[in-house]
Amino acid sequence: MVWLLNPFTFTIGTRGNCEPIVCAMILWIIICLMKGSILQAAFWYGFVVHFRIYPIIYALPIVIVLDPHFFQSGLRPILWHWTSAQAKDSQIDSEVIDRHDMWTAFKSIFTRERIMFGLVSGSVLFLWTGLFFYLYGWEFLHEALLYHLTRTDPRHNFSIYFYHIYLHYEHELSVLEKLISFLPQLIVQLVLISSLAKDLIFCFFVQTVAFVAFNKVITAQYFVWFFCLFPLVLPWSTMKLKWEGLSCILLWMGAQTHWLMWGYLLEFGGKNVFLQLWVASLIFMAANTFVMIMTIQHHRYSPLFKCLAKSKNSVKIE
Amino acid sequence: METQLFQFLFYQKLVILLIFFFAGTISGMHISASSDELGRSGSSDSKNPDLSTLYVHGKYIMESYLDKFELQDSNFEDFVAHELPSGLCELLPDNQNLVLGLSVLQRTLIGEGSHRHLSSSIRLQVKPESILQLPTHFCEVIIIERLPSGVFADPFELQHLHQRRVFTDVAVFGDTNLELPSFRSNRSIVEVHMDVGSNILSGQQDGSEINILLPLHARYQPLDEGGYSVVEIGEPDLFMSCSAEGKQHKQSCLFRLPNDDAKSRTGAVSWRIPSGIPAHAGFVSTFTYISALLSTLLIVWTSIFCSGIKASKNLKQS
Repeated sequence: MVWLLNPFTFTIGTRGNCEPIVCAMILWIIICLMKGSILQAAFWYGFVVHFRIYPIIYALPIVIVLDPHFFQSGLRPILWHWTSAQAKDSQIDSEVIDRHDMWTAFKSIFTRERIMFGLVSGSVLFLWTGLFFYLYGWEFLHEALLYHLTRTDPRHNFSIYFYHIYLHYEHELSVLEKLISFLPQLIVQLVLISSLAKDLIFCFFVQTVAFVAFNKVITAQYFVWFFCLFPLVLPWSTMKLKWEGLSCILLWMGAQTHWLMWGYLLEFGGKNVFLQLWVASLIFMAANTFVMIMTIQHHRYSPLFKCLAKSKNSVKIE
Repeated sequence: METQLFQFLFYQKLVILLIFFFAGTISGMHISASSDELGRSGSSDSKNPDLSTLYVHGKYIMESYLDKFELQDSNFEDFVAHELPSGLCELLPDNQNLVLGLSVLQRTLIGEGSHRHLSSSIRLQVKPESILQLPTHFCEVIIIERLPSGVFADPFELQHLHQRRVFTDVAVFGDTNLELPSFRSNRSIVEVHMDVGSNILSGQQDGSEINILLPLHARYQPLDEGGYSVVEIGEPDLFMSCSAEGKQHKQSCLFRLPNDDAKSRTGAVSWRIPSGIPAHAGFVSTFTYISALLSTLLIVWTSIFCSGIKASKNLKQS
């Protein structure tokens, strides 16, 4: 409840930004999945991707978590009930499940739940897109979707790429350069998904932080995307406020403030501080990386769902 | 029972969402229709038959200019000399110099950084030797600012000023794209209408002083070794539009105001804007990619080797 009073979020929200709506929908999708309402989750997921493109990064973890071990037709999925005593055993259990699934995952990718989720969310996304295309034509399609494929905003923002884009704006960046810029983002997302997908909420959180940090454009409103998930991952963190937690908070906020100082001198002071601003964005990237590393290292990996029926392999290990 | 309740809640949410959607669509279409006077670029809107009915015929003199010409200074002079409708000016002598005098008292850029105000102070004087018998008339001064591509006016900001009655009327024509740098942008024209009161041509008032504070914003400039680019904003073009109630219908007259005194010419206003330095391109690109690579490797290493999964494996082995 205290987190709802986070001044950052309501400042961003009250200036006319729609992020709180998106965050509310993401949280509702998580609740629907936890209740086993795949149809509803798929509907809202299709809608939220139409509303804001970034939740597309959650598609793969959701599909992975719709595992036949957790979701079976007619049965509600079982959530893990976590206590500190259970933590050790359940982690071993989850490790068994993961090793088993990696082998059978390839064979059992296309399950009823996964196909249904994909079809429903895809249809909903297509329908909403089609409706707005009917209302507003190509202008809608360009502004909402196509623009993001070609957009390279050279103006100063938190991203490490802004000055590089500005210095090369007069001659178009080659396909290779664009690919090299996109590769870190892709690699990080895939590795995080493959490591953490079963711990769905923590996976969402770290994915979102990484997505924002490696994006070509970073503005303050994007931070709201992972702020809403932060209270959900906190109970599973072994990080103490003194001094690990405080160091993360102070470093992240300090790097941001440092960047804002140079940004103010450029935009409102009219001083040429592009180089200093770019260095500040590198420091902010380092702070983001530090926070991600600390969060992952101090997190108790906790799969969201329990296996509905014990498999042959898990019996063997026991 | 629980399933029925869940379904009911789901359909309830769907209905609420649809209500909001249609309400939003209707209000959005209304807002886009009423605010479309500002921020239009000349060529695209002429293709939309619905928008043309929103414009009062002859309300903006630049409307017809951009329908016919590109934004070049030579075209503008031709337009003023030959194409500009003069309306029914038979009530006034052929040479308006006998009636009105004009002097631009001051023209400066107020503020620092990328967001400044262009301040123009204009004195309008009716010459006492020519007192005309005219019916009750209302006049407004039309100030045309032909902006270079290095700066732009925000149509939404100007709309707020218009709503607060700072200007009688205001419109922006040409390129109003906020993101593109100046070398990818086109010029724009701001047309400001300021009420100068009634019966000014009858010599009942000595004259009036008009102060205009026009908010402008700098675009990103082409790269420069010196680190700064200078943008010059030329003098405004001034017109007067007077309308009077005739016997049968409203008569209006539009004429260009000549500059009364050559000494009053203030010249172009210079705006020094920071720009990127080409010499930085090499090492900025190199260190940007190195930072991205380093962060990627650290996050990948942490995810694979230091997350909870690995910790639980160690636990099992011990």
